[in-house]
Amino acid sequence: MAKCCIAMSLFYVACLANVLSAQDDLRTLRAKAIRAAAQRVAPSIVRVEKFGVAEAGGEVADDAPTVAVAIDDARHFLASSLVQRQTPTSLVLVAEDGRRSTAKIIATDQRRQLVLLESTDDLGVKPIELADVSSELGQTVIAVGRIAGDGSIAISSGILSAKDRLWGIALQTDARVSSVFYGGPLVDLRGQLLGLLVPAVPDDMGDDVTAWYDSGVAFAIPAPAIKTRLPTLLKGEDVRGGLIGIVAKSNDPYVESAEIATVLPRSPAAGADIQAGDVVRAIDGQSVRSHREIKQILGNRDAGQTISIDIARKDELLTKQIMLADKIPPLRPQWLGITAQDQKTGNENQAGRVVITGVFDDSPAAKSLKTNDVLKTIDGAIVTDVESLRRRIFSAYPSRMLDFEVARKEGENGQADVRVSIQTLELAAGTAASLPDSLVYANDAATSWTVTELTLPDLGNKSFVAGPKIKDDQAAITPPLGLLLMLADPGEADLKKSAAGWTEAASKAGVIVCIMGPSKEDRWQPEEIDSAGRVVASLTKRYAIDETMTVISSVGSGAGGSMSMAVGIGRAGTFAGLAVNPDVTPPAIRLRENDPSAPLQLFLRGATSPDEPSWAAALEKTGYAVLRGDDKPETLLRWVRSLPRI
Amino acid sequence: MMTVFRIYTVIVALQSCIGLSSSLAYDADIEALTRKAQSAAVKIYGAGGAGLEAYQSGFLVSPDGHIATVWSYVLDVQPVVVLDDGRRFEGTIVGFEPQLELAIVKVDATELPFLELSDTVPEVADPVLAVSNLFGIASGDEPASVMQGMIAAVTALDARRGTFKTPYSGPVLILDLVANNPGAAGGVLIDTQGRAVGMLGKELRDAAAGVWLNYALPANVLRPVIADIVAGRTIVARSQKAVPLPADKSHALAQLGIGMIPDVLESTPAFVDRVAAESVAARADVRPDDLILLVGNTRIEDQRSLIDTLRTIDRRDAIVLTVQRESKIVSIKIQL
Repeated sequence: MAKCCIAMSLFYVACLANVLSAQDDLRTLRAKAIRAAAQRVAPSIVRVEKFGVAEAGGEVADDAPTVAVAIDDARHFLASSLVQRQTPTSLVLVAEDGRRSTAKIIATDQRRQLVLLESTDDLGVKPIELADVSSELGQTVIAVGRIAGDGSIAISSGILSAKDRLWGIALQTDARVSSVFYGGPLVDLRGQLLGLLVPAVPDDMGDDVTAWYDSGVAFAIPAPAIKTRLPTLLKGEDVRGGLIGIVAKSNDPYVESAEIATVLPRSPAAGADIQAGDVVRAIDGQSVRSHREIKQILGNRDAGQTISIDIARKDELLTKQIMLADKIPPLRPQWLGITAQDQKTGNENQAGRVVITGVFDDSPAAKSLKTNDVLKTIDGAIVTDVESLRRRIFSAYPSRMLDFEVARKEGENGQADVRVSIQTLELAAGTAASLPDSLVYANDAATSWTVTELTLPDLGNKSFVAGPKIKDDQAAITPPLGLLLMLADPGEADLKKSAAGWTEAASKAGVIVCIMGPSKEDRWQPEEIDSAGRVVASLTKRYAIDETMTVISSVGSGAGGSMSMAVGIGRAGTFAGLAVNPDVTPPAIRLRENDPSAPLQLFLRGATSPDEPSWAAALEKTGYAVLRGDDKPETLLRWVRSLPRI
Repeated sequence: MMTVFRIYTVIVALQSCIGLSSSLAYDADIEALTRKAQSAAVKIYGAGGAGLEAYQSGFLVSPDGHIATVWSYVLDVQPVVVLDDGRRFEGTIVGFEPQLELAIVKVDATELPFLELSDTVPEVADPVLAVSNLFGIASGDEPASVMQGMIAAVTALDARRGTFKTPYSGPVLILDLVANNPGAAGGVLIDTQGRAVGMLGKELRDAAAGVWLNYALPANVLRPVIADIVAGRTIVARSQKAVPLPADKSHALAQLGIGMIPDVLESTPAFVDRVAAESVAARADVRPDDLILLVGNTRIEDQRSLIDTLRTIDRRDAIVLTVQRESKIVSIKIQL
């Protein structure tokens, strides 16, 4: 009993002493914990230096110093994709003690921006542990890197903001992360590895993965995801995201519908006999209600992985096993030769109808379809709206027969169901020599066209617009107009005169022509890619522009031409078409696959032979329909007006 | 036993109370620290320019009105200084140190609140508060803005030529807080004891990495210089940045006997093409196809930087080249 009392008293005194003495406030304790956590992983972090890199774009320099972590005792390190950018002559790893060794790239996880390196010399670096560590949103996390000059440890502390970002693959933190952290660890307060930091931006935010450095939005690949893929990388095999090849009905991935509009030809989905009209119910046991949820699950699957997909077809429920591919053969865009419009039935409960408003002469549909026909089904699948019809035809299996069920007026009030079979034709093969009446501009002779200047706040670009004269309070003009936005070469003198030169042809064709110059006199800058979109948005407010008739082009074949290509290809969805002079030098941007949900058509003005230019073949291989024609203004304007064709 | 249990419960309860009061102390503490730093912070207005803001921050380092700030274009005209209590003064520049990009501005007043400069360097992860007039948000008697963060790294500004457009290449505190903002330069960094541990530096971009830096000059580096200026002692600016020597006094590739591959690209890697027989380089075993990575501690990105770096080294001094030979790293010492 006495011993117990003494023990308790001693305990009491010790507690009191502890509480009263140190009085380390919370912040100091936290600082100590952060230091200790950083020190725990510091021995595994080496610097990566790049040598022999040509200067190129991007916020962060291409030879910026980054870091890597050791992952085993066999001289293997994981680094970020920045080490590969611009193919350096030499990669050198620098250990804590300053020793250097060259390193080579063994394999890449292209989806997760990670690169596996093998060091030539054994630098004696302690490997980091890749384990599944539990984590909670809002908890403290610490980014650990090394400063380039002297290799001292750098930290940035933040919280775990989100999981499963970037379509299912990354943790998000608000720690300030820049190049000295890329490839380095993100740890918890105990120093346990949560993931490796990589430069990344969401896929509609452009090509520069370093653009969001120090922004408060940073991404890390979780350790378990790295661990499962390490064996593949160690074999020297790259890891790629898995593709399936299904196209959604709607442009909006959040719409609550998992119905498939079409299946890309020669894709894994096509091979598994998934059909237009099928509704996806679940993937790998997880139920899905929208295409966003489908993308979220598939985003974390690799090429070569097999998934189990449940689909509903009419009244049946089917389950299929599909192996995802790393690439799908490119689109060969198809067309029928019609223009169509959605028509409401007036009955709220009945789905809308698609009515044919015009048929092109000399097109696949010319012999079989007529204006005012109502398209009911294609190959048995119900046709619900124009946009999904457009996608269906655009990405149809090349040159195959499609069966149509059509309702046609017979006599005065009668209607009959007609069945026709039409073989689609490749878009690239057919230039529209003449437009159907539905696309011809009914010129109101009373409205004269003039050139006005367009200035937007915060935009240094000068633009001149050749369009119909309208009063400020006048309602939008019908019928809708097309839009041709032409980027001028830097140094081009008189943009207004250029626009004036187009006025007559533009007013006849019904296409607004806007000549836009660069904001700096001597060159176009990459940041201006979004400026073109702002000009289009502004013009769309002023005039009634049909967004399926918007084209970007250039006045000459210099820097303005390269810029127009960068805008057309890089910002899919803003323009329906891109018209290029064959002498233009293509820009140094990543060539995205033509996306059926935001398809782009190309027109080469004045291309005399089918072989030129040499870069056209690369575009065709990525799924773009490339048409060739003469360089007369009328031809270009007629092509602009023809773009809504299906 | 129950008595013991009751005593134990009381002890635990006591501990919790003490713990609770120390977290209350944490909050009260921060408020006192913030007010102390804000009362010594000043807003400086001066010269602007095309797209450049005409204001920056500063802080009092003596009760007689000596203010530490950055040596910048804002001070090209006689600056106007506004104290925390809103009083306006015309400031006089009484001293500056170009290497540190530090200036001391004096106002005619006494008994002003001021901050002591720490003589120790903070550690990585130490919590700090940055007090500055970023974006010129505060005016008149509005207090300067306070931001919370920590020390991200303690390092030296990279000595690479052309990396930073600043003459300073000494120790810096890299900050885990967004200190790099218009008008923040000259602001003060304080620690949990309320001592000034650094001064926010001018907007600086790391040309090698391409990123804007969040950093402060450490108080222990500023302290002796500020003391000298305040005491009226003259300063001799010591050159810390390498300057090119006359061509006949510095190293050159020709003297060493090294021939490089033709410099035809905008940025040609520093590959050795040939080594003259019987030359200094030959004796030191420099070989064709060696890729020169470093001269001393200076990183060599291309031929241009190799030539420029050699120009800053006295011919009589030995140089150490770090080269990559196939996949090996080799260190070579050369002495003329």
